[in-house]
Order: sequence, then C-alpha cells, then structure tokens
Amino acid sequence: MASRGAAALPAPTASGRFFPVSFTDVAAAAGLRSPQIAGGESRKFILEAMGSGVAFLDYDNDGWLDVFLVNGSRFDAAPKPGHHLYKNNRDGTFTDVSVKAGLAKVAWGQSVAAADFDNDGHIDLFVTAWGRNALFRNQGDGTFLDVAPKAGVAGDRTRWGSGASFIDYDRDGLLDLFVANYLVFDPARTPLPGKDPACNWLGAPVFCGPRGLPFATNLLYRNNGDGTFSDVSAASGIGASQKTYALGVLAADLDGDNWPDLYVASDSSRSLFYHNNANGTFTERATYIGLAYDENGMEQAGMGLALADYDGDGRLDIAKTNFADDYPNLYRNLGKVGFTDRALFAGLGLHPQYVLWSAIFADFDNDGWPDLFLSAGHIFNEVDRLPTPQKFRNPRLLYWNLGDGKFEDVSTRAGPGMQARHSSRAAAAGDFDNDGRVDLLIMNMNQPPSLLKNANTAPHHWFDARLTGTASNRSAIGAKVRVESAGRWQTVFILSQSGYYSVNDPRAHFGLGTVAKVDRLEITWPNGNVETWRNLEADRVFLATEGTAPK
Amino acid sequence: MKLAAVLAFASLAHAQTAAALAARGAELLEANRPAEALSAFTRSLRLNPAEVEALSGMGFLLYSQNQFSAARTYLEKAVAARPQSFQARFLLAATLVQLKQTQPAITQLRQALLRNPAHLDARKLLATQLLEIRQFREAVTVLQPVVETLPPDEEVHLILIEARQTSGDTAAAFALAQKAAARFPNSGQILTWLGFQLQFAGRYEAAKPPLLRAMEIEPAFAVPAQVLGDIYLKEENFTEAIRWLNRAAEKMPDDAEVLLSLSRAQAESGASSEALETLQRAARAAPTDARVHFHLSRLYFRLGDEPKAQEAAALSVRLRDTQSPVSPAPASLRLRR
Repeated sequence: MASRGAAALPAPTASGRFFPVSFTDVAAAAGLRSPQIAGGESRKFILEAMGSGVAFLDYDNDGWLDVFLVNGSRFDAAPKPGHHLYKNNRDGTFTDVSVKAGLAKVAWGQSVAAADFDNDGHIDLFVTAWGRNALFRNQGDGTFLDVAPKAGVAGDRTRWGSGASFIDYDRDGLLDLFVANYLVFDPARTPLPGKDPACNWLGAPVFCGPRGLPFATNLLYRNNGDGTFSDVSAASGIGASQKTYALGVLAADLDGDNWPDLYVASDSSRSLFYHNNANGTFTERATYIGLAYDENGMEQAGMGLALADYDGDGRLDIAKTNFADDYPNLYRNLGKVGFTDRALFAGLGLHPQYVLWSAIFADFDNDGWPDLFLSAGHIFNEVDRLPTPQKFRNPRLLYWNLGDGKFEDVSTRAGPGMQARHSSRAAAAGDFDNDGRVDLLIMNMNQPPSLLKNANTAPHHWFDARLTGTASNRSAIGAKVRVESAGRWQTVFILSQSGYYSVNDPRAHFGLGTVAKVDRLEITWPNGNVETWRNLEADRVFLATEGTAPK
Repeated sequence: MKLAAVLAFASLAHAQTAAALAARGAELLEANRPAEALSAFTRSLRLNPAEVEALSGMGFLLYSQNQFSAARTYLEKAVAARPQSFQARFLLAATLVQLKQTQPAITQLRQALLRNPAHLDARKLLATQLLEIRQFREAVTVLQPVVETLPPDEEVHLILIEARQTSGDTAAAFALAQKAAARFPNSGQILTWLGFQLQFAGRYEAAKPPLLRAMEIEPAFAVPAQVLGDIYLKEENFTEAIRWLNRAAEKMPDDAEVLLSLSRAQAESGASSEALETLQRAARAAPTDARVHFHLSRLYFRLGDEPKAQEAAALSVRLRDTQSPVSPAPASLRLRR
C-alpha cells in the first residue's frame, strides 16, 4: 500500500448551515446480526485484510430492498459462515433466508455485482472470490443456483477475483461481465509477516503485499445469450497485463460517447481506464485522460469508486478512495479533455489518517446535490500499538455537497451511526424502508454490518426511478437517468457494482429540495435510445419501462 | 638473548622512524604543502607498510585531491591495521560517499560512531546516507539526540527536518521547522523549509512571509520562489504561479519539478503552447522522469494529439517500473543540505 505522508489540510470556513441528517445504526434491531468474516484476528496474509461486499437488491421483486452480505473465510479453525441473504419484512426488520435461498455457500468471498444477466425478470448475483467465482442465478422462486461453472465464469483456476461489474459492452441487450483480479496469491508462497523487508510497516512486522506479490490480469466475459459466456479477455484487450493491483470497478459511459467504459481503481499502482472502442475492443487510456494518478503524477493505493455528477454540469465525475497518508480523489469530468482531480479544492483533504474504502455519492438530505460518504478502517491490526495516530477502527466520513463544487465535513454532525468506530470496508446506499431517505449498509471486519437509518428532518422532496429494459438489458445497467426540476438537471447512472465491492439501490434516487415536481425525466437506455417523461409527481417511485414513454 | 634485544631495539627505532615520518607528513599537510606531505607518507609506508597514520594521511591527501579510488585503498588498509581508529573509518566513509558506495559508507559510519558517538559530522554524514536509502526513521534516530546540542547546528536541523518529512512524520517536521526558524532567523534554507511545511499543511497564507524573507536573505536561492509558485498554483492564481515559477526556473533552468509546476500553471491558464514548450524542456532536462512524460501525455491529449499522448503515457508507465517512489519534498531543497 503506497503511503505519501499527506498532511491533514485545514478545514475551510464552515458554511454555517444546518445539516439535517442523522444516522443511527439499526442493524441489530433489524435482525442483521451475523458477522462478516474476513480472516482471523491476527492477520498473516493480505487476503485477510480486504473485507467483502454488501448489496441492496430486490431479489423477490416486491418493491422492498433486501440485503445480501458476502462472506469471506479464515485460515484458522474458527467457524466459517456462508453468504447471507436477508429478506425485507417491510416493517424495518429482515429475515435470514440464506439457507433456503441456497446462498449460504462458504468461500473466500470478495465482491458482489447484481443484475439480471439472463433477462428473465429476476435479479442475479455474481460473487468474486479467492478461488472460484460464483454466478447465483435467481430462479424466481426465492432460491438461487450457482451456474458459474456451466456459464463459464467460475474461472479456470484459483484467482483472486476483486471488483466485478456487469456491462453490456457491445450493446446487444445482453449483460456481459468484467472481473478484476487483485493479485496472484498462494499462501504457501507468500512470506509471513516480517519475513521479507517489504513486510514491515513503521518497523513492525505485518502481512506482505500487495507490492512484491505477483500481478494478476483482468477478465471480460461476453454473454452468449444462452446462459453461457465466452472469455473475450484477450480479443478485447482487457486481458493484457497492466502490472496493477485491481480492486474497485465502475462500468459507465465516462466519456459521453454512449458506449460503456470501465474504470478500475488499483492498489499501489496506476488505476486503469478501459475506453470502449465500440468495436468489441478497449484501449487503456487512464494516464492521459487523468484517471491513473493524482494531479502530480503520483501513484496511489486506490480502493473504491463512486460515480455522480457532483457539480451539476451534466458530466459524470468520480470519487476514488485511497490508503492512509494520502487524499481521496475527486476526478471532475471536463468532457473531451479528460478529468482533473479537485479533491483538495473541494475540501476532501481533511482526514489523511484514515484508510478509506467505499465511496458513495448519494443525496442524503434530498437537497438536489449528491453528498459523499466514505467508509474507513485500517488494514493492520498492529497499528493500534504503533507510534502513529492511525487506528484500526475509525469513524465514517460524510461530506455534504454545498452545491458550489465544495463539500463540508459533517461527519461529527451526522449522528451516532456516522461516529461509531469500526474497521469498515464495503458499503451500499439504499432506501430500505421506502421513506424517501437514503440509508447506508456497511461491512465491518469480523463484526455484523451496520445499517444506518437516515433520519433527515429537512422537508425536502424526492423522486426515484426504477428502470426496466426491454430492448436493452432488463436491469437497465448502463442507463443514464436525468431529471430536470425547477430548471436544474441531475444525472444518475445505473450500475451493477460501485463503492467498494458493493451494490447500491437499483433505483435512481434524486433529491428535489423544496420542489414537489419533476419537469422532465430523460433516460438514455444502454442501447443509446432516449426517452422522456414529463410532469411527474415527487415523493414516489416511478416505474420506467423502456419503450413506454409518451411520444 | 643479546641478539634478540638488539633486534627488538632496531624494530622499535624503525617503527619510530615510520611514525615520525607520518607525523611529519601530517604537519606538512596541515601547512598546505601536499607534495612534501606525499613524500613523507610514502617514505613512512616504505619503512612500515602498516603505519596507520601514514595510511590515513595518504588517504586524506588523495581524498582532498579528488582521487577517491586511490584514497579508498589506503584508508581500507588503515582500518584493517587499526580497526579501533575513529579517524580512519570516518575518512574511509567520507571517501565511500564520494564513490557513491552508500551501504559500505553506512557500515563504516556506524562503526565510527561506536568509537566516537559525539562526533557531529559523522552523525550528519550517516543521516544523509540513510536518507539516500530511504531509511528515514534511522536517520531521525541518529540526529535527534544532537538537535538540542549547543551551539545549535543548522545542518543538523535541515537534515532532521527532511528526515521527519520524508518518513511521513509531517507534524514533527513542521514543529522542528518552526523551532529551527526561531533559532536561525536568517537562514534562507530553514525559512524555506518552514514555508514548504506550511504549504504542505495547506496553510498557504502563513507560508508566504517566510518564503519571501528567504528570498531576501538568499536572492540566488531558487527554491523559495518554487514553493511560492506551487502555493499560487494550488490557490489557482495562475498568473502569480507563473511569475514565481518563472523566477525559480531562471535560477534552476533544468529542474524538472520547477518546470512541471510551471507547465501546469501555464496549461491551466490556457497557455497550452507555452506549457508544451516547458514540458519539452523538462523532458530534455530529465528524460527518465516518469512524471514529465505523464504530464506530457495529458497535455498532448488536451491538445487533441492522442497518438503522442499514448506514446508519452506508455513511456511514463515503462519508466515507473524502474523508479522508486518520489519524495514529497522538492528534490532541489533536499540537494541543498
């Protein structure tokens, strides 16, 4: 993990405005009590430090978000639980249906991507792992079946699958699959803590990696439309060795040409931007479009990614989290000339003492501007004994979008759930209780997750759009959703994975402030078709089906 | 028995003569008469090839004439003949530093300091060598005990600030820079470090006065202008950034870091062709600096020349494979120690 000695920058002058949101952890009361295991308490290998994913999804199509938790494993003899699926009881609680659903599989699970890959109307799950990946096909009766081997996406050998994303890269209406691989890991060949000069941190022996461990390559699978996939990694250019340690993934049209690209956050190495050439191939362009490094050209230890039009200029921007002693990135999209990192200008340089993981853009106070949530937690248990202000367990960070390109740190003003200390990794945003306020689900290392209920007291309106593709893929992964309200446009992109290893609410959520009406809803479907709906009521979930907009 | 006593006496006389010649050589060196000193050392070593003072003197003489490889031979013999000699080890270490033999130099300096822990120059030399191999924490350990020594030593403060900064302990580096600025209010370098620290911590307004003062004290010193330019670049005042970075570039025309900052300020202000010219100059000055080619690739892309952007990006990535991470402190400031 790269470390650059970044100093905490002074907080800008406070806006003086009241932040109306308070988060409270209701996980235990809601029934989310099983811990997510990721290694033992004494971590010997890097595999034990990376955590695992969480997802908000509606697996039974009842209009209420359910919860899926990926489980890791451990090298010692302690119990190793499987993945967990919790069904939403529509009363603020959940029921564990993992075993009944056939998802209680034990694995070194990593990330989860959610989408309807076979267009049968039921959301499926792809789970990466150190080992073989799983493709859990939703059979529509409350159960799932791992079809990865039959579908050809389990992997041909033991790999460390990290981030993954469904992407219709050839716009044929079928979701293809991108799988990032972190590094080549073999515990028998990996030095133990302190056994190699590189396996020390602040003078203490710690697990080795990623530097010094072999690089892996990334994979792209093309959906054949018959339940199987073909490995097109080599033909597409995705499989070329880039000598990077890939983690978080975003699949989105980042350059506005209506073809979805891939952006991959890399740990201790340059991040990758695979530009979709619209002919089945990709070109890696991160360095010159400004997404590989920070503004000074320094490598960073990238972890998670979030996507939003944070400044309201109609272009999708990116937040990327990094290791401690560094700042996160806020890559502002400049259009044809690439991206520029505005993190420090935006006020995100306040907390370089934290290792940051998941990044989530969501409008938590429904004022019409996406805010930024960041999860934190150190990788070394040993850090609490070392001469550094960094700690293993950390509070969460919340930056309030002030609407002028800047953010205000409201972490300590956003309720007890935001200030609770955990070593967190993955996180997802979603409105689990359908009250129009975006809640948070957070993975905590070897602890139960946090479910942060949003108690926004501002009398703001909101609007959700739930998309169903017909000519495009059914989950509408890759669709761009724009809303115009009182003369302002907001943009949300539909993703199958983001943050770090996680899946957000599949509905596009928009805060409307004091305006109770959407003037226009414009959807650019993954196949490039654009449809517009007008004069829609606020404070509701609007079901938008491809091909049904009034002419 | 009689013969043995005679032989012993003869040996002693012989040794005394070699020692006397070595001592004479040292006196001649002191009197800046190197040719005669060389002759005395040579005669001494002819009489006794293991005469430590002569070996050390010869080593020092050759060192002062920049004949480092030859000096090393004599000094290694001196150390072998008298392992306990602080002087021989220190001279050998200094010679090894000149020969860029960092690790062997560090070994000799560690041994030398065991024999004379109070020797300030040996500590400073060891700390700088440790910084070369990125052993920042040990460098701090070496210098921290002497930073409060009276009278205060400016160089100790400078090296220690750098060690703290590069080790990631920016808070300690900042605290020391503040203390050093109070102790050495007329040191351009110390004030520049203080300005750099304040800039690093985002305290841009506070950073400007010490940097301006440093420029008054040392008008020829380019780094304060560089740091000031970087501050204006961060403040997005590109006109002022270009002004100060141009001033730094006049004094350090081949400094890649100055040119990189200048090109960024030019590009951000819309002066793309000037930015390209500056980057091309940086590429000529530092052809193996990956960051130069990174910035070139970005500028080519902005200018619509994607093939050139790809070429520069590929070179930047290739060069990174062979380079260690860059320190957050300006190289030009580090080189001033």
